[in-house]
Amino acid sequence: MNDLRAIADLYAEVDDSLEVLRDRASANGATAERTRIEHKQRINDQAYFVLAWGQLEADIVDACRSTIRHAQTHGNWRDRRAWTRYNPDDRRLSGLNFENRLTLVLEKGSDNWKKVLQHYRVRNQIAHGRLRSQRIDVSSVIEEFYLIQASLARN
Amino acid sequence: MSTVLDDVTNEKIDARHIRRRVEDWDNRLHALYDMIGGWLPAGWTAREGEPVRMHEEMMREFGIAPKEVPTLELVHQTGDAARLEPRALWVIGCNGRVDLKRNSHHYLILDRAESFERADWQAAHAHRRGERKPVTRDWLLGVLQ
Repeated sequence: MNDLRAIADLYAEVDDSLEVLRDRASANGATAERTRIEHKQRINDQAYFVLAWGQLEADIVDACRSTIRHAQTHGNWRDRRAWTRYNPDDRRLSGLNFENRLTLVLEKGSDNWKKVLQHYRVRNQIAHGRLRSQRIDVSSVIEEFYLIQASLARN
Repeated sequence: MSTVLDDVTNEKIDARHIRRRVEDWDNRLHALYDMIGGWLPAGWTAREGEPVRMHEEMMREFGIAPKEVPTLELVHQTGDAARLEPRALWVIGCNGRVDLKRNSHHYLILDRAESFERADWQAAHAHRRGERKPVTRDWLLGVLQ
């Protein structure tokens, strides 16, 4: 998640600029203009949310590859055999879908596991063309992503 | 316990839940303003500002009527002023956001608690959003100094 801090900073910078325009529209009683700017802020939230999500997702996939590699080094074939189905160097991780990748690095059903899947659902809606009407506090979400990242198992 | 993220991704949410959330938001806003009003340094007074209309998507989706929610104005005897205005309840990442603006300064006050829990108000300057601090009297004095 090397670029996450830069994403957070740029998000705040753009949102602040829009907020200045919103204040100006409010002060001038330009309600329609204010609504238009608020819509831009929501789109901006979602653009940066998807960017930030990409950083977390890449880290989850990296952790998943590390976990598979580690498990394949078990000395006992009985411990190793299930893991040999997966090629950690394959771009698509031998067809493991995102939920299964996540389940290899976070305990299924845990709070963080659920949170990641909820964020994933929001990300999918946005990325597949259904913009949301809620604001996203991207700074808070990024903070949450760091906590999730710290809890990923890598072996 | 749940969060805004639960609300916006759960297909089993109903109108009763949304109504409770709106009522809880109104209560939390009043409690926040009462707290801030009680912390003002000498020379400052608090007064109710023009309410703002709340009709978020979650309310519209479940046929909940718009609601007027309160704002708060902090006025110094010299004429200097600050204003607190609720921006939204359903904000992914927090349990509601209130903005405090004073001159060119903009603070984001976020409730970091889960739904229906005791509010955990934390604030950050809009230019330094990662540096959140609990909303305390000391924080307020720093904003108003």
